[in-house]
Amino acid sequence: MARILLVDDDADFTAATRTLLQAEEHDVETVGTLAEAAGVLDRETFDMLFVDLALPDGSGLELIQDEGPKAVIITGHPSMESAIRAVRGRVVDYLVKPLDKAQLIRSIESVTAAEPPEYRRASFEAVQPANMIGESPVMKSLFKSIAEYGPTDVTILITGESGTGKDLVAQALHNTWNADAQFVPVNCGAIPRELVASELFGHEKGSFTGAAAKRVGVFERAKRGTVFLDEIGELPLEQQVNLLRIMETRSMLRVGGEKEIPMMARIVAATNKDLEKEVSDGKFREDLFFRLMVLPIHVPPLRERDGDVTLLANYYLQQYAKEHGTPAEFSPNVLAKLDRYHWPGNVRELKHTVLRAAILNRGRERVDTLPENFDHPPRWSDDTNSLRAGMSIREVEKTLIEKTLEHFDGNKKLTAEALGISLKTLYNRLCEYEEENTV
Amino acid sequence: MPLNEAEKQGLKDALHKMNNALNSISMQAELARMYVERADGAKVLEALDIVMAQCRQCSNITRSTQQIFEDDL
Repeated sequence: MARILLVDDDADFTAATRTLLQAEEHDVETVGTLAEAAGVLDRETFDMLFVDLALPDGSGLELIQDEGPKAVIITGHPSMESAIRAVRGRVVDYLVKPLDKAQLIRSIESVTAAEPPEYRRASFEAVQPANMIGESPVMKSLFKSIAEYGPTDVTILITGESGTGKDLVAQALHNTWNADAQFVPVNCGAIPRELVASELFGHEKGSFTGAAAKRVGVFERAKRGTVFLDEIGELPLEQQVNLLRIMETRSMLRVGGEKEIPMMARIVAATNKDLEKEVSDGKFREDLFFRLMVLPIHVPPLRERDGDVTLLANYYLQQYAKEHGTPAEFSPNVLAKLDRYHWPGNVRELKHTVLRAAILNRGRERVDTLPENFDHPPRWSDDTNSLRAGMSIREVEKTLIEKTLEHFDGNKKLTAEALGISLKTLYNRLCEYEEENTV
Repeated sequence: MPLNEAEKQGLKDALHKMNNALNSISMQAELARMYVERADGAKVLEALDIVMAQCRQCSNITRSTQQIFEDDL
């Protein structure tokens, strides 16, 4: 049972909502103005607020305080400004009128589930997800957000530069929520445009040319697990509206299907793009942006993580030592160099540098030297084979693979890892290029 | 003809009222469903009365909004 304050000036709406929520055994108080709400909040305590943005005597946002109860914003006319201001407070959801009972219940459940018992709340600071490494203050703050937001089923948007480990954050959120269920990652930027709908929502047999059999989409496959929509900023506009619909109605239609299928999965999205700018450029839907921005989590770049470079470098070096028999220790000089570098490619770049250094120093007791120019990676634009307008994607891919292979001195394992593809895919591509050259 | 400031404000207010009315209809309909499940006929009728009143209000708002654009339609 939750104790709820509903603030809205529409008496018919508040009366109906109070009765409906009381039937669900919640204790509901209703008021119609900002002044009345402020008075009630002074006298009594609540678990959560439902607040209309447009009240007769001001904006409902004024009631949301850092120390106050968690809040759900209700609005009939979302605006960029209100959404951005809203997410900074203790806002756990953002509902657009007209509402229905299921939406209200979901919001209440997300708050009650997110409120951990006292003994767990005290340990928020110390909680570190098993799959993440970091002792810097910015990472401790990130771990705290994961521990706080993880157990809710609220949609989360993870932002951060490329290589910062947004996928690990998504996995950590899933583990704190429902680790036994499926974690289904999808890279929105890697799916061919014409297949996005089918991949996400599934399709019925014969719904389009080539749909020889029924296919289940990622939302259905995840069941009660997590769908991780990586690179959400790359999702085509026409599919953004479908995603929004799924998030609002919690149900979907397969491509070519007529039957509504319930969507039970939690959605975690990630982007390295400035989505606010994408919205103003007309490349990303404003309403989807609001939906995603309810709980944003920012993953800091490596250059802001004081002390973590050494920690991560030692961790990766020891891992490689176990796997490849390479040295397990850095010389102080090398560690200092690693620590001084600004790591524009973040943890991914550090990981690859450590691996290259480990191989370079194979047979020695410790890593004394770093790969030449590790802090000045080659710029392909100076090269005659650089990317140029008019190249096909296939040509770009071939150039990228060849250059990366060259960079890692022909080491295919490192190349595949750096490119984020499997070793098998790399071999397949190289065979194709060889065949092309033979022809 | 572009709208003048008063017309813009009038339209904004009308849309706000209609939005609230539709929201109220949505929740009263949920309430009616709950009372149907509980076989509480009197309460169902009470909720439906409110739904109908809100529908009338939406209809009035639509009509007055149409008047703003009468010349253009």
